Amino acid sequence: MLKKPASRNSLKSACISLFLLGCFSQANAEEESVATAEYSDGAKQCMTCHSEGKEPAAHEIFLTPMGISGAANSPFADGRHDCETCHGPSASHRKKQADGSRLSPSISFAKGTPVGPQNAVCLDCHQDGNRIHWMASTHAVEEVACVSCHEVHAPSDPAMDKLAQQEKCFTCHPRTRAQTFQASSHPLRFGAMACTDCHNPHDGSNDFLLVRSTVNDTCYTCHAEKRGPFLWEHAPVSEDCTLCHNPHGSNHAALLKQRPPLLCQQCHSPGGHPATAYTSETAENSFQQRFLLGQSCANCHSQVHGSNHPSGVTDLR
Amino acid sequence: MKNFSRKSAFSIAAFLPVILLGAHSTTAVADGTEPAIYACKACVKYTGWRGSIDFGGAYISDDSYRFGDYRGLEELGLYAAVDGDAHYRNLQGDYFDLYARDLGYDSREIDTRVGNQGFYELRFGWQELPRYLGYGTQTPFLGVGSDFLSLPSNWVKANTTSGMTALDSSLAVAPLKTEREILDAGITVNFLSNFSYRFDYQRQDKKGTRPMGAGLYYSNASILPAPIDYTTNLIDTAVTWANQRAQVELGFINSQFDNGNSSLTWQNPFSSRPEHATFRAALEPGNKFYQFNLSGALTLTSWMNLSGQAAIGEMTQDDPFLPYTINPEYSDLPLPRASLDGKLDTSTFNAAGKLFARINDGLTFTARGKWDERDNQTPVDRYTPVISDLVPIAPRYNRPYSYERQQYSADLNYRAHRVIRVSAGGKQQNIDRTLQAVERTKETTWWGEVKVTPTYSTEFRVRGEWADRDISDYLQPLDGGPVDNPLMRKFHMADRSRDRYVIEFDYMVTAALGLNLAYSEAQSEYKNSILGLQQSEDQNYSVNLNYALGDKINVYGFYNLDTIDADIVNTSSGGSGVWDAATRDRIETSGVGLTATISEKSSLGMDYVYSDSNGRISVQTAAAEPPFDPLKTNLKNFKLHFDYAFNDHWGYKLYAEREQYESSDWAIDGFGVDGINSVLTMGEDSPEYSVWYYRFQVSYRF
Repeated sequence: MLKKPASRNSLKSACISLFLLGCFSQANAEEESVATAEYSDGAKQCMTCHSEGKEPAAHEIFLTPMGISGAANSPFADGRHDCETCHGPSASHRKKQADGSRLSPSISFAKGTPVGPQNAVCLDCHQDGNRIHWMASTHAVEEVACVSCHEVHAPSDPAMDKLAQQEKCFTCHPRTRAQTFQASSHPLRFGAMACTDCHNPHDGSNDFLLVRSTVNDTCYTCHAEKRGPFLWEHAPVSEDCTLCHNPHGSNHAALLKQRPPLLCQQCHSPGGHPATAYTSETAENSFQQRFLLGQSCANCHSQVHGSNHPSGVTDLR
Repeated sequence: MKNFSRKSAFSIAAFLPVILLGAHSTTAVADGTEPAIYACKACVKYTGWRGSIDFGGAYISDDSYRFGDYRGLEELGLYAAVDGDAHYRNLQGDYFDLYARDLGYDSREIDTRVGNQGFYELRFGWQELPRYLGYGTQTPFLGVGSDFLSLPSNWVKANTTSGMTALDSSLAVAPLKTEREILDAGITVNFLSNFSYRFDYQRQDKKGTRPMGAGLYYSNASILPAPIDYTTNLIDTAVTWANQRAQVELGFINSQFDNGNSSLTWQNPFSSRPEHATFRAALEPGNKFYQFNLSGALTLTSWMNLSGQAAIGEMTQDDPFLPYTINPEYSDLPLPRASLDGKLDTSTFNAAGKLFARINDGLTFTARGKWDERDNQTPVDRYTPVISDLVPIAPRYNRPYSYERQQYSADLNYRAHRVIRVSAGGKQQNIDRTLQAVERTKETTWWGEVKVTPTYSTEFRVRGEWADRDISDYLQPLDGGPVDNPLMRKFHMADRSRDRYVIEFDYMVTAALGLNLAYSEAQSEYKNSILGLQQSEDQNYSVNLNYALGDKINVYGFYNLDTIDADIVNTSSGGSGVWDAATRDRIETSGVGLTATISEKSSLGMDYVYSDSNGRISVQTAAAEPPFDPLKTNLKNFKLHFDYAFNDHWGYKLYAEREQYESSDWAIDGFGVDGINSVLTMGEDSPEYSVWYYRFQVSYRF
């Protein structure tokens, strides 16, 4: 067995060690700088520059639950550090530098600043309820900052408002915005539904960040009549609603991914009428048009979601 | 105007408490008990009441069920337009929030929260949601909305719709409408510093009619206005313990669905023997579901986090069976049991672990596992179905399908440099099924992604995914029923290779101008499917633009193009008569809009959206066949709103919306109720409308 030259191994080890050492020392230096930073005298100092009419104003924080200082969990409660409860010790932020600029607060929540420390501040108080699985969620992995969606200083956080919330989601999911205008869609554009009716953006446990364990369990929240169990089940229906439906929108009726009869014919070929080619000329054929026109297969087989009729084996009853 | 009085009364009644509370609105004066923060003179002391009431009228220029869909504005005329919100805060953390929207419309909604921050919260919500499922629908059946549909006494039966000579005189408008009412109530209580208890109750009532096809074996069918009378009660409750290192939640969900109608009976409009004069179908049976959830997360160290969830539940359904048929000829056929006694055990277990390798916080590793089982315990029996109340067929056994899904995935994210993040991962998904053509499918997915952020204002992302699905042997399940062609592969249980690519570019051209370009493509190839779905391709292009003109004006624009293609092969008779179908859907959506603060007193907003879809279908046999006419929809929506404040309390709001919609569908257009010889339809046509919606509201702020 050939051995690698010792010198090359040593060199590699040295490089790795130096790299790790560099990383650790940088991380430690960052921690140290936060630890040694000093708090200012609280909101009364912050509000000198960030009150109403000044830029950037932060006074509306007092219109939010965060700003209710009488509440024990408020960042402004006695014994806490007001604005710096979230922004970190930022006494140095008050002092102008030689060039007239100011140092940023310890945590500024500005775009481009590291997401991890930003989110850690929020999670310090909010890692319960439907945020338990945040750390493993797609949004956490993608380094989405809490403030990308939540406007902490706004009197009404758009992320908590049905109509405004979707605009936040569409920023990164523009295709879904377009789907809400398609011929068949859930009523997001009317504000009658919110993205969070089906999705938990903080979740890291369910597929597609859904609010329930499975796709079907999520759909059954509003469509419990499809839940069954039925005497005669249609296998793909009980497996996954999205095999046939696109929940965000479709140019076919009932959110279907495909137009019947082709929707059905891509899976069924028992011979006879289910597998017959229904062409554009079928529409003129008075004998065959019942298989194609109107509701197509569902003219007769209307119980495609399952039937509890003892004679419903073919979804006719 | 006919809606006005009822809706106005509802609006005023619902909003009365807010009006009364508003009359007493005061701002609390700081007293000696106030916290230290109130020594801050520049801090705003928002306590007491605040809110707004917007009341006035709306006008709809034309009747349109499609425009009224979800909005509740389907009829030409005047509507009461009432919205508002009210909020109360005090220094002790007591709060009250109320949001009310569209109280004068059939789509009204109220959401209320009251509580003390950090201690408790009570919630109440009410929502009404109207839906229209058909446009211009009519039917000769009497008793629409009930579980028995009869025909007029002078009805003339015939073999085809063209022979039903009393049809025209019997037709009556039958809107296919549902109304959903949702009541939400809940409470959250925090106790013992780390515990919280949440209880939510929801009741959904859905009433109305929906179209339901009712076939008579191979010969003819009727589209019936089937009744909907659904009630779903849902309880969702959980107790949580949480601190900064660990969180645990134990939850329980109970959902019960009841249907006010167990069956639909109708008189046969087609010529028939006397015993086939009446038919009956089952409607959705009542069912129950409960689930226990245990969920938790633990931050073991600053670089390791674990979370998991276990959910165990049961679905049951035991509504009494109908007889095999209403046909007296076979009324004595014995059923194997009186009800299904259907029972499904569901269990979901998932676990996730995230490891932050402490290399400058630059490396994270996330692993997840999920096991999800649907174990169908429903008893299997031998049934002798009487197909469409006409003919008994050979006995069949019911098939209670079960599934077990296992998913494992691992992701690695490495921030190689401040500007580059490299990610890669893999996922394995196995699905085991019972009583189906394929016992196991196994899909392996690999993906890689590079995200480059050269500056704070620029981000470029490229992602590729490559998935391969293999299946176990393809079987023909034998239950006495028709057997699929052995060459058919159902697309979700077929060998498949799937590639997906995403390219995204975000660029803040200036602090005011943001641009996002995105392209994604997914291609699936069903490599071993001789019959069935052969391939599908899905492409998406999107452009998004945002421009802030100073701090007063914001302009946005977007363009989105979706193309969805699929190719299918099937055969009408064994190996011969092979045909193929191609579907090509193209959906284009674009929009522009702006919001502008004109002055301290006024603001303006405008949105315009254009959405156009074109669905082309071609089915080819040995003979050259012309393609179908395109399926088309075209939506143009324009909104304009202007708000003006006379002073701190009073103002007004103007809103105008125009929506124009055109669509064509060769499957329904122009056939009327009797245009399809063997199907008595409800005469639905593709919707087409042009509606103006104006709203004027006086606004009072307190």
